[in-house]
Amino acid sequence: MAHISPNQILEHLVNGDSRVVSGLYDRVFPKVVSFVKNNRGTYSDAEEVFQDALYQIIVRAKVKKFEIKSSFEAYLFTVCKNLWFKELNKKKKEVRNDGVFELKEKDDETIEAILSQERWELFEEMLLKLTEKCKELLKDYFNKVPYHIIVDKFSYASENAAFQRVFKCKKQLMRLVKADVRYRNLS
Amino acid sequence: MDEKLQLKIEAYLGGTLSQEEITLFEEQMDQDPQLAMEVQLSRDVNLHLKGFSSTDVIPDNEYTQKLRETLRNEGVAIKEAVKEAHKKYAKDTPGFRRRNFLMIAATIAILLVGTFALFNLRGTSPEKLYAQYYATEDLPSMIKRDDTTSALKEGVLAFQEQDYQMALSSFDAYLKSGVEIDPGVYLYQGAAHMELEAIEEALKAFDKMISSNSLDRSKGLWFKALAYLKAKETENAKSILQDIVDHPEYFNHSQAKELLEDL
Repeated sequence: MAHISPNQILEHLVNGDSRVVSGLYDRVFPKVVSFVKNNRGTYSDAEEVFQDALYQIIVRAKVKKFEIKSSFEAYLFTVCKNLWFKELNKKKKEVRNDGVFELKEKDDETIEAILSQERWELFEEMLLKLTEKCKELLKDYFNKVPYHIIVDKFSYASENAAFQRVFKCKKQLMRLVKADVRYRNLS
Repeated sequence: MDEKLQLKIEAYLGGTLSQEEITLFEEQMDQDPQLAMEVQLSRDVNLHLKGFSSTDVIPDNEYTQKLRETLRNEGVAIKEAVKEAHKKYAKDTPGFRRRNFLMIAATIAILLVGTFALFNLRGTSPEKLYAQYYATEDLPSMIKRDDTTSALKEGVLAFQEQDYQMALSSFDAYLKSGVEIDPGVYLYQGAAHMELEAIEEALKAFDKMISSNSLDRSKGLWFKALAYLKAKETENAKSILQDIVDHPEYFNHSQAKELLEDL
């Protein structure tokens, strides 16, 4: 289906074109199965995630047109991945709360998932606008790479200088996010 | 927003404020929606950078109202359409067809041979179940992009080429090399031993995984259960599977449930 653009695929999907859907199943579903199975899930978890992803994308496109910048297949896979990580986090929380978890409206869950996905896309896109150094520094800092390693890696004069830099990079990222029109829908 | 306030937000999210300061800051947020929004965004950005999804906050705005409306009016129909597509796919895939074929074959067998055959068909041997449930895709991926030479990589590659003896020597070299050990190696070691029918050795390796501090340590339990299955020690396999079934967060939780039922 190389001749159809991702946004055309999206349109077909929204219109319920069964050929497009079955093509997506052939090309993307097996990858989702192996991703979910490699990350503590089962085949039936993958089935659920895949269906939720299609559902989420259709609902979102019906409410507001959006542009897919990668291939549709890569996009769908990312949505599935994010949904599965969300699910794993939820499971972790349930275990921590001794199996007691909030009962949520199914529609609320879908809206949450859509907003999470949109935030994810917005943040990833804005991160690309930062310098490579800023981006790497932020990821290292928030993934708890020790300060002394950050200082060495980026050749800062001191730990304080490193923190100042992290702070500036994050401020810039926040500024970019807030300036984007999409942020209004997400806040 | 001034820098001092932003530093405070960072401190609040980083958990470095005192209890008293937290209370004060939260009061301030209650009175200042702009500040609350800033904190929320800051929190979401931090979560994103840590690789997590954003918080589950649904703001009340025109967009979320439209989403709600669409879900209310069209949600059921869209969901049905997606389900239908899934059913169609399941029907068209070879795995599903094979299952159908097996079911037909079983029915014919029952009709032809009678109930005696039924018992034979239902009694599934541990070896068959092992073959059905053992999947190398369940092993973690171990090779990092910048890793080009390590013994670990050689071992994993040899394992993938089914040269299990070679894989085992490479894993040994890796374990003795003095680098920080990725416990996932024990799963590969155990799986290689299993392939070579050295069940005792396999069990030892899986035990090392189970007692490691890896997030994936419950994978050790799953593979240990499979090792027992391969050795036809069904009771031992069952007791481990039960352990997995009792812990929803463990690896292959639902598969363990299915397998236990099959046994």
